[in-house]
This record gives sequence, C-alpha cells and structure tokens, in this order.
Amino acid sequence: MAQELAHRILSDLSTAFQRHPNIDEVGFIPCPTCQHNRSPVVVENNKLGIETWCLELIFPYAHDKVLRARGRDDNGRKIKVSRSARSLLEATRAVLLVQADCLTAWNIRKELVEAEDLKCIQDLKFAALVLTKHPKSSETFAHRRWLLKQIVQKTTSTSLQPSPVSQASHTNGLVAGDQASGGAAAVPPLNARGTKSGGAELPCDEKLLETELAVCQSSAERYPSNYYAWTHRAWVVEQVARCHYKILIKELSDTRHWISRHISDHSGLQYRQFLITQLATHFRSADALQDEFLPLLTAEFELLTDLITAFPGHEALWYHRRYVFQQWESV
Amino acid sequence: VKDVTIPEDAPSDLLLNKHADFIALYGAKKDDYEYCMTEYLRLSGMYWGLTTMDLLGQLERMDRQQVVEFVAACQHDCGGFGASLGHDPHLLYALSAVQILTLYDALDAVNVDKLVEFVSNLQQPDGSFFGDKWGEVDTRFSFCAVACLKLLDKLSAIDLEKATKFVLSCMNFDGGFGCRPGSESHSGQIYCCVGFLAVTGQLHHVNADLLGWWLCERQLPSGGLNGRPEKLPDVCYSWWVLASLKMIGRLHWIDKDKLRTFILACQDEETGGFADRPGDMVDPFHTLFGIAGLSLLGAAEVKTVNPVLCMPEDTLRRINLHIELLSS
Amino acid sequence: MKLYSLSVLYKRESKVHLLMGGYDLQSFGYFQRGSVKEFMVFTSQIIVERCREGSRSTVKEQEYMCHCYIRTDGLGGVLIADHEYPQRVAFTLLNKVLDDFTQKVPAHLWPDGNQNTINYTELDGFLAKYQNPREADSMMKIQSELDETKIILHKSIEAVLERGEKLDDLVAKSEDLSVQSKTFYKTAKKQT
Ligand SMILES: CC(C)=CCC/C(C)=C/CC/C(C)=C/CC/C(C)=C/COP(=O)(O)OP(=O)(O)O
Repeated sequence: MAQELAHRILSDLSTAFQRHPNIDEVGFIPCPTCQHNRSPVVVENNKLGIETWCLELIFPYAHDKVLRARGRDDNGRKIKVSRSARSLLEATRAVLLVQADCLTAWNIRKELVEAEDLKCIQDLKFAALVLTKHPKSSETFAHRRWLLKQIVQKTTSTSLQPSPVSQASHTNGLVAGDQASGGAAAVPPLNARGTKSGGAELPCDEKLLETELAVCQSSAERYPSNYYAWTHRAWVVEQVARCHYKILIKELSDTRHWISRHISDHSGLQYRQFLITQLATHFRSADALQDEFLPLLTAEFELLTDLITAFPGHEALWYHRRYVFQQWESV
Repeated sequence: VKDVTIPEDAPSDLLLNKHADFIALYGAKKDDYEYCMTEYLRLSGMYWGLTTMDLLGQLERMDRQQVVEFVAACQHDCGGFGASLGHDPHLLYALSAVQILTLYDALDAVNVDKLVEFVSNLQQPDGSFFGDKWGEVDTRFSFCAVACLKLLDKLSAIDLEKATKFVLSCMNFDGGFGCRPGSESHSGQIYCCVGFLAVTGQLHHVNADLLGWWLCERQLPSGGLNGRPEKLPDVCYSWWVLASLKMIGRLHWIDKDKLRTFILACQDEETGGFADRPGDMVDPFHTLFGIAGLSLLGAAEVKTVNPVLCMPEDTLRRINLHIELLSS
Repeated sequence: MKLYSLSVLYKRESKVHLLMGGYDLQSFGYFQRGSVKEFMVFTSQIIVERCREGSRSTVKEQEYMCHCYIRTDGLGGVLIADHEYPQRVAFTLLNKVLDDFTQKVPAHLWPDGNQNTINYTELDGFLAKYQNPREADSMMKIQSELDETKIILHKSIEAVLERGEKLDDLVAKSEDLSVQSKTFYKTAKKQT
C-alpha cells in the first residue's frame, strides 16, 4: 500500500517536471497528514511544492531504489544490479530534493552523464533547483564542480590545473617553509595591463559563467555567510574563468553592492579577499602594483570606513579591514 | 552581537546516564524516517555514538559483533568504505571505519592493505587529496587520510612533504585555514589542518599566537563558540575550536567556565543528548562534541579525549599511539 | 539587511488589533510566505499586547528583530527586520509611519478599524524606501530625534510574556494561525 502510494507520488513528481520544464524553486509545504484527495505535489508559478507528510513515504522508497542500483536490497543483502536510466533519474531526483547531501545519489547521476543518459547542462539546472531548498549542501556544490569540469574539459584543449592561487601574497610570509612556487607562474597568461589593453578573450562560455555566478548569489542570499556558495564562487573564477583579469575586476565591482547590504556576511567579504589576492598577483606580474593595485586597495579602505561608521559593531567588517591592512603593508 | 541567551532553567549538571541511554536507543529505531535520512553518513554516525559511549565508560552496552560485521560489510573492493551498505566509498567514511575498528580492537576484520592503497591512491600530484574518485579536493580529506594512516601505522604510504605543502597553502593571513587555497578560515577546517600537522609531527608550522587569537575570538558573551565571525554559537565548535587550541597549547586562552555553562545548557533533560544550541533538537553528532568538549575542559566524569583524533586516550595508549602537541 | 513587515496596530485596555500591515517576503520560499506572514502578524500583535503604552522596545526572536513603538494614545507600530538593520533607523521609521497614519486616518476610526475599513496605503512604500537605510535617512538626523525615550531590549518573545506563559501554548491556542502555519512553526523550530 505504502509502496504503491510512494510510487504514485514519484510519478506525480515526474509529471510535474515534464509539464513545467521551468520550475525554478522547490519547497516543502508543512502539512502533517494527507487531508484531501489530491496529490501532495503541486506546481504554482513555476514553484514546486511537496507536502511534508509524503516525504517519509517517498524518501525511503526512492532511497531503496538508489541502493538497488548499487546492488543492495532493503536489508543490505547483495542483489543483482538493476538499472534503467529513467528510473534512476527519478529515484535520485526524489532522494536529492529531500536529502541533498546523499553523495551516492549524485554519483549515480555522474555515471548517467558519463553514459550520456543525462546532459551536464540539464543536471546543472537540477542541482540549482536543489540549492533553492538546500542552499548550503556541500555535496550539491561538489557535484556542480564535477559537471563544470566536464564542460570545461570538453570546450577547452587545456586541461585543468591545480588551483592557481598564489599563497605567497595570501599569507604574507606567515607560513614557515617555502610556498612561493606555483604562484606567479600559474597566473593566466593574459594581457599584462588589463585595464588598458582590455581584450584577451574569456577562456570560457560567458553564459555558463554568468549562470554559475547567479547560482552562487542566490544561495548566498538564502543562507547568510554561506561557506559553500562563496568557496564555490571562488572555484568558478579560478577554474572556469581561469582568473581572467576582466572577471576579477567585474566580480570586485559586482559584489560591492552586495556586501554593503550584507555587512555581517564574512564569507562575502572574504570572497573579496580572494579577488584582491588574485589581483595582487596579476598586478605584481604586470609590474603595476603601485599604479593599479594601490588605488584598488584605497577604494576598499574607503568602502570599509564608510560601512564601519554607518553600521558600527560588525566583527566581519573589522576582520576584512585587517586583511586590507596586511595587503597594504605587503605592497 | 549575534548570540543566544541561555534560558534560566537550562540544565547545569552533566546528565551522563541520559546521554548514554540516548545513544543506545538511537540505533534501535532503524525504521525511522530520520534514521533513513541519515543513512548517507551512517559510519560517521556510528563513530560519534560509539565514541560517546566509550568516553562515558559504557561502550560495553553496544553490540560489538554486530558493529564490526557491519563496518566490514561497508568495505568495497577498492579498499574504501561507504557510509552504509550500498553507499559509495569515500575518505570520510574510511576514517570513521578505522576509528570504530580501533575502538573495538578489530582492525583484522577488514582488508587493511587495500584500505591503505585506497587512501594513498587518492593523493594528487600537488599533495592534496580527493575525497573519492570523483575528484573533490578539501583539507578535510587531507586530515582524514593522515589520521587513517596514523591509526594503521602506515603514514609512509603517502608523500608527506607534498601533502604538507598543500595544507600549508591553505593557510590564511589570519593564521587560520580554509578548505582550499584562498578559502575562508573556518574552525572546522582549522581543526583538520592543525590536526594534520599534529598527526604528522609538524605543528611548528602554525603561528600559534596568531591562530590562537583568532580561535579565542570565537567565544561569544553566552560562553558558546562559533565557527567564524558573526555566526551563531554551536556545541560542535566546543570541539573544533577547543581541540585546535589544545593542539597549539592555547587552551587556557578562553573562558572555560562560561563555555562549560553553554555546553551543559545544550543538553535535553528529557531525551538526553546535546543540541547545537539550547532548546534545539538533539543528535549524536552534537552529543559527541558536547561530551568531548567537556572532557577537554577537564570534566572528571568523562574519560580523557585525544584532541587530535577525538578518541579516548586509553584506546590510543593501547595501540601505542602518541601525538606530540605544542606546549603552552 | 532586510525589512520584512511593518504594521500599525491599536491598543486599548490591553486589547490589540491590527489596523494595517505591509510585507516584503521575497526572501522567503514561495510556499512559506503565507505562514511567515501569519506569524509576523501574530508576533506583532503579541508584542504590542505585552508592551506598555509610551514605550519603545526591541524584541529579539531567533534571527529577527521586532522593533515596537506604542504611543500613549494607543497607536502602535511594529517593524520586523533582520539583525543587520540599524535600530535607530527602525525607530525613526516607526515614528514617521505613526505620524503619517495619524494624519491620514482619523482617530475615531481606530477602535473598530481593520484592514478592510481603513484606507491607508503607504506602508508598502515605506517598506520599500527604507529597505536601504542609508538612502532613506541620513544617520545624523536620526541620532538627535530619538534620545527622549529609551529603547528596552528583550532577548526573546518569551521575555515579554507573563510568568508561566509559553509561546508554544499561545501558538497552539491562536485562532489566527492556520493549521499549516502551526505545523510550519513546529518544523521550523526543530530544524534550527
Ligand atoms: C575525527 C573527527 C572528529 C572528524 C573527521 C574530520 C572532519 C570531516 C572534520 C570536519 C570539520 C568541519 C566541521 C568542517 C567544516 C565544514 C564547513 C565549511 C562548514 C560550514 O558550515 P556551516 O553550516 O556554514 O556552519 P557555520 O554556520 O557554523 O559556519
């Protein structure tokens, strides 16, 4: 009985996704028991709502299907692996809408991508939807990174390298031992004085980048000081945009307004530290620290002075100020 | 200041037996929806529960054989461990498996050589570690790798120099560490990185005063600790922050009495167990870190916990494992 | 920093009713907005009920700050904001709103008024304008305007309730909250 009902609700979900290809938000509707004779799955205004009473039905049911794809039955006994792409997509979708950190479910979707049963772009869209309900799910962001790597690897001939952040400027020599290597050399080989000559081409699809940054922004909006959203954003700038000078500058200007409206969001401020550190590396290699980097630091100082006086008592702002000071000293 | 207020009627004594009952009961309701929801981290959940029981001196209440058989069944052909039966292998659960088996002195129940191979295969040319074959990098995984190998006495299976270099590349200007180079400092990540350096005997790389200062700043007026600036306090940081301070010899820099009061206020008097904050729902994760935090603060009723591996000191003594910390 | 709700209420002999409310619930999940709104009304009402006429107070409730100003004539305003929103600006806004309301809605309509009988449409505009506190008002002016009355800070809603009274019971008893909202309240509490 319960199985049948769960099965039916799962197909309601599928129908909902078919009929409304542009669902852009998912939420649970608090409702302790099934009270009426209609489906617990509703779509309104492109928002998908699932009544809470049915979660404990569909989750175990879908979870079980996921395990069967890994060759285990309800009792954990080994069974023959059975898989049909369609049913796996449905089952993992249901699991992940409820429990976004179930890494095995995401892995199954990766395998479906590899088998070309699922397109990267499609799954990026689904993962974005999951983040509207679970904005700090680390596994969801990790899955996005995997998907993005697939896309980037396909579209560029250069393969991904380990993170190009220069730690030399980051730590200001606080770390014992050498860590200077891998810094300047890893800076993307772009036009040196970005501001003046401008034009080296972006190493990635602009639309892809834009979407990704928007996903980060909306997750950051949904959960304050969202560690995962902001570290993901930095990853995107490094690995997708290859720390392109233009993007660094654009990001610095785009997040300015955001942090002025989220003055206690340390993660947002720290993201600017990431950008500034990258820019320092860039300007250092372009021999433009004095001319181009210092004005940028000055502007950051002024922004902070302004915010700290207008909104006193915020630790996050003071922490950021310390960073800017340290950068200043290192120039 | 973003903080909580401790209710006047909050508990102020350690409800030791209630917590043991809470943990013992937790595993018994396996058909529960909540239980199914946390299946994806089961082995870690078991490690939290069993370590709690051991610290409370009641490990014998748990079914050793059943646990060991389950852990063994979670091992995959590649040597790694999934969180539960049918779940994919990941470094996070490899560490939990090794910790559980060490508690029970039952490492012979699994294929240790394969496990070592699994861990070392995840190391990358830049020294970092993937969590699994899909390629996510995080300093948490660097810690899991060396903690695992240390417990197996197989640290030599990886390139330590490179591994260290990667972890140090995640150090920030404030002395803290993030998940990847350039990422925000976070108490949990700091625990992992400082723990990494402790396990590998390289704590001299830490700027103890600078980092200690940042860690102390985590204490809020309520006495509780948060994980980074302007976030709410949470019992689990009584572990991540306190253990890090202990490792770098700066534990005396925080107000212990106030922290103790905060931790005790997070107990649920009815059900037993600890919540993240006073009045919230309890769970095994916060229960372990509440108890372990109290142990670091010197609670007499609880066994002494090791600040690096979050396991009872007597267990580590049994396997002759000793980790040098910075002195205060 | 965000403003969520701005309401004008009337209090007489400890009875309180809502005259008009304005809301900005964009930042909440689509399916939560209905319940969130009911709770904002419920909370505003309780606070005005429990605070004295002629007082200014701020009640902290989880991640929300409820700023409340009740005039001696019984007209009260409650502004629900987040932690980042500056308290001074919040009270300036409340002053302004109550003044404006008094000008546009005759006092004899207050005792029996409600959202349907009262014609006052400025609240949404105030909310929108004050979302950005710095564009709305210069800090300097604010400081001097407010010093007469001290603002009392309560650390939770429970702190304004009478001894023995529990918020959970009030929620359970309330006739203004739908079943869905009551369920929402319970699950919201569990998850934090
Ligand atoms: C042996 C032991 C005890 C642990 C194993 C090693 C691991 C996995 C440690 C995990 C450390 C940890 C808690 C890392 C933090 C991860 C992170 C960036 C969390 C961000 O969390 P939020 O949910 O935003 O929490 P806050 O809001 O409190 O910052």
